[in-house]
Amino acid sequence: MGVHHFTRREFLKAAGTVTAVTALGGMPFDALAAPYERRLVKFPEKTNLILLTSRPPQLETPLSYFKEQITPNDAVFVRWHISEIPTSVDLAEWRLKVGGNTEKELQLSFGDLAKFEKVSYTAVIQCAGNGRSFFDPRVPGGQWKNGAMANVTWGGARLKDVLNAAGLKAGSVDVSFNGLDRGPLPSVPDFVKSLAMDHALEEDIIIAYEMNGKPLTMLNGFPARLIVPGLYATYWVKSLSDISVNTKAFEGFWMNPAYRIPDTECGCIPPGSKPSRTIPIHRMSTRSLIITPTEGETLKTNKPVNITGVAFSGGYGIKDVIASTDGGRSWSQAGLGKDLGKYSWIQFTLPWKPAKAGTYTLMAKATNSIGDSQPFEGLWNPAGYLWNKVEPLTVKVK
Amino acid sequence: MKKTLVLTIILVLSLLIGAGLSRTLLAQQKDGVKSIELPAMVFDLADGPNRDKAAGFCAICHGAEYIPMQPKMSKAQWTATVTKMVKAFGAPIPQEDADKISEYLGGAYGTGK
Repeated sequence: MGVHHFTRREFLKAAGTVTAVTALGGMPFDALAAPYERRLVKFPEKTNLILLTSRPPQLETPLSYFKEQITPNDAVFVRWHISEIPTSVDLAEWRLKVGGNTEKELQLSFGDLAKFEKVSYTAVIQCAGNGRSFFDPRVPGGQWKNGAMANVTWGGARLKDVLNAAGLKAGSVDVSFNGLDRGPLPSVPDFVKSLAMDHALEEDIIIAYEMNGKPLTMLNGFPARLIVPGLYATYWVKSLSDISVNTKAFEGFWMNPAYRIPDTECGCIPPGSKPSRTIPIHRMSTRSLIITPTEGETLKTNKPVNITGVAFSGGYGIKDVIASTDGGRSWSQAGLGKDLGKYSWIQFTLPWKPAKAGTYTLMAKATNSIGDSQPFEGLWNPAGYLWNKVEPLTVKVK
Repeated sequence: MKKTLVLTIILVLSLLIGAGLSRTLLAQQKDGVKSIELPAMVFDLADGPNRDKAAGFCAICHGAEYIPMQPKMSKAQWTATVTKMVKAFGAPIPQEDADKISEYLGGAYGTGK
């Protein structure tokens, strides 16, 4: 196998390409900046997003896009696991195979999928590792800040209807999902995820072929992806190609040992320790995030300002959001915006008129409809999942 | 004469550009086909012994940015990461090379411990 590296000249050439591409977007970009830093890049069908990695692509959404309740398709974050990702799909050729322990095997075309009753709802999509870079002690993995999330209206066919069309046979225990992405070598574990049978038959799980009324972007899983609302996006398999009904629990690499959390009440353990038992990551923790004002912003004395942000949970809706302008000493009820359903995020607003100059620490804390809320200290687990700390944000008032 | 030549050149160029454009449009408009081209990106790894070995082997599976993106880790943590790449992710790295790569990462991207 050839071991190669890029010469300085090749690097400059490649960097030039990137600069040229990005220049079209008119955003600041310095391809030659070293060492590694978060920078904006332009990928196909995407606006300028923050580059984590290029191959496979992992792109984070700048927080300013979360001022809107619905995240535009071109701003939705991107996260692939293995390098050979689909870059061209011909719908005339594409088929979704549904088989395994079923009465018959289906080979659904895109048109066949569209014939099932269409279901549409808004749901937060969030990477399990969103916020990983805030862990203390730090943990390896994709170093996301808070931009690995989005709120999107998905449209597609119920998984349940598709499974029933294939006909489930007795003894089915779970369903596994594979997409068009592949590892660069056969030895690299293919990205396959599974859901327990009773979960897979839940009404709200869909095979989505639309995001915000448009076809999926390629990097978000064209032509169709699984939507498991309330759960972290690791289960939302992109560019679906195979659904298999299994008589034994599927135990591939990406179910075990990957994407697991400590088997404790909080999914956390003492920082730096090792879990004695783990379970697959599942529902999203309740969380909120202040979007405006932004970290470090300077505000004016006696000028009214709205503290705004988003809050969501693992499919239970949000009961209330409280916010503080004095580092958590006192709290006020924030007003909640339009309710787009239990899987969507809800916007919150707290009007504020800072009377005195100084430095202020703002906080927001959400509680979902079953009483789950957010911790003041960051929870810790070795893979950097479930980040949902009440995050302090500092502003200056002059 | 000169004018005719200029006009001819302009005509030929417009035809060529036109043909190119319509080809592009046709390719994009073909029903039901979606294609994208991923931008080529290259990142320099920090200098150090066995940098080329690390760059080469790691690039089999992923972009070099995966390395500088990580928090600074101890030599033991980098060794565990390289072992994970081989054992869990199926990277075809002979043990001798894996050791050198861990050494490099611990040096160039390490905590010094």
